[in-house]
Amino acid sequence: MKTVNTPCPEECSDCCALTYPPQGFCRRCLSENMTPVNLPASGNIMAVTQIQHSFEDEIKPILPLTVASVDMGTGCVVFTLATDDSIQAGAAVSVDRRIWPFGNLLTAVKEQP
Amino acid sequence: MTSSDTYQGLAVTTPVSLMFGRFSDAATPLLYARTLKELLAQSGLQKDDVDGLAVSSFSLDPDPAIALSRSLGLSLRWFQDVNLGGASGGIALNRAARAVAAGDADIVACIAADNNLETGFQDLVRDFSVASRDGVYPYGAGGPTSVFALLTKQYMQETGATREDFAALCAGQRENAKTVPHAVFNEPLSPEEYLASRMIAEPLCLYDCVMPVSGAEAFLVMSEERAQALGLSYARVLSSIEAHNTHGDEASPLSGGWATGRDRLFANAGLGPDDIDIIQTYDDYPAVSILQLEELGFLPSGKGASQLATSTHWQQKHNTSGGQLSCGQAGAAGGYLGLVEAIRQLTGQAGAWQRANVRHALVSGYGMVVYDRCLATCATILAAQESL
Ligand SMILES: [Zn+2]
Repeated sequence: MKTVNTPCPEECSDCCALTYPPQGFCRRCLSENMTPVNLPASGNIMAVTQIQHSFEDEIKPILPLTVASVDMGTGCVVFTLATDDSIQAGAAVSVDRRIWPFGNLLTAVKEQP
Repeated sequence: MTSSDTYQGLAVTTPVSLMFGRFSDAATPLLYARTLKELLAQSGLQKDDVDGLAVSSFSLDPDPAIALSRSLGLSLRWFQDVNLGGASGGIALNRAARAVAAGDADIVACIAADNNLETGFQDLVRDFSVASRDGVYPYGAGGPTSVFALLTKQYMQETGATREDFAALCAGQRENAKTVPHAVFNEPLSPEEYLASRMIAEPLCLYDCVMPVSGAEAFLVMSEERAQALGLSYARVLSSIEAHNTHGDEASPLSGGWATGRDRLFANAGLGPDDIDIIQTYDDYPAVSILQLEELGFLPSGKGASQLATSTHWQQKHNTSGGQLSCGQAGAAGGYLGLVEAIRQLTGQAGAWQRANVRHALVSGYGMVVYDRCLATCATILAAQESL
């Protein structure tokens, strides 16, 4: 698996909707005035899974991985890796990019209360 | 005009299911050739009688779908590429029925076929869409199971559904498959075996995941008059809906879109959920089947899993051939499986697993997980030939 550098969401300057992955235009109003969201950005955990099986040999040695879907607002959902495997649905998180063995990926870190 | 008017006088006939093993390196056009040959053998038609073709496949690359007309030697008046995964069957039927009703074609062969190379499924999920390649796959490379693990987890959080509920569904479907010749898993599966099996992506275990296989599913659409002249048993289309990206603005992936068309679906058929004798849902994962049954009004919203788990009545009427959980997923043909099984049951051709007195069947589909959910949703109500 080649190392990846996953993108961050884009925000529409006209209607404020977030689009992910970025596509150069807004999924809601079709505006092309898009700017990358500044990371870290806040979101809420929707669900968490522990991945035990991977299609990629490079990932297999570091399984299980904790993957969480995060609601970033305006209906935008991102997939993240989580550094804390006790993280749960509903938790407020900060989403940032972190270096993992196979790429620079969106990562959810629990926000301190 | 209601959809029941549109479909007046149309027949859906000649259910064909072919299994080519778990792995096959046979080129996909060869699978189409074998399937077309079977449709012709069972219907008594000649190849030249077929003037319409609908196809659904993931494994035709680099050929465009229309290349099949050349390789199968079919001269066509009507052609449709319905590459909508788990929604392919119902939507191919919609398109084909409307084409016959409009006089654009007399006899449409609807075929879904996919081979499964040893690395075929991995290659497919690695590059399924731009959004999935960039936004999902790098996060553990778990394929669609990671996406549906998150969806299932969310369903469990919101409804209290348990893995024991899913175990009952999976065990029940396996029981349904015990005499089905095209099933890849016929042997019994106990809830205990399910619960003890290895996790793939929590909460989904080995038995929640369909096995990619190589196979084909097919049927013919023509006028009732033609079907009668050919002496074919057939089913009739009463009503059909489809919806795409219905709740795309919602973060939650739990609404598929069936509910938005449900009232129209039943009204056009002149039926209610209680009139439906058998239901075939798209079962790539158990929670997905339950969402369909809830949205279509068969089970109360949020309580479907537990009700399904405690009812043998439901096991009898739902996914009567064992679904993909037992028959495997032959690519886009997985999206035809329920529809072909419904035609078989409505025409009394299901052999040892035939249900009694099947007058009405509902088939629902769900396909194309481009990012965090499937985008295409469909449902169709069919009636037996003699049921008016
Ligand atoms: Zn916008």
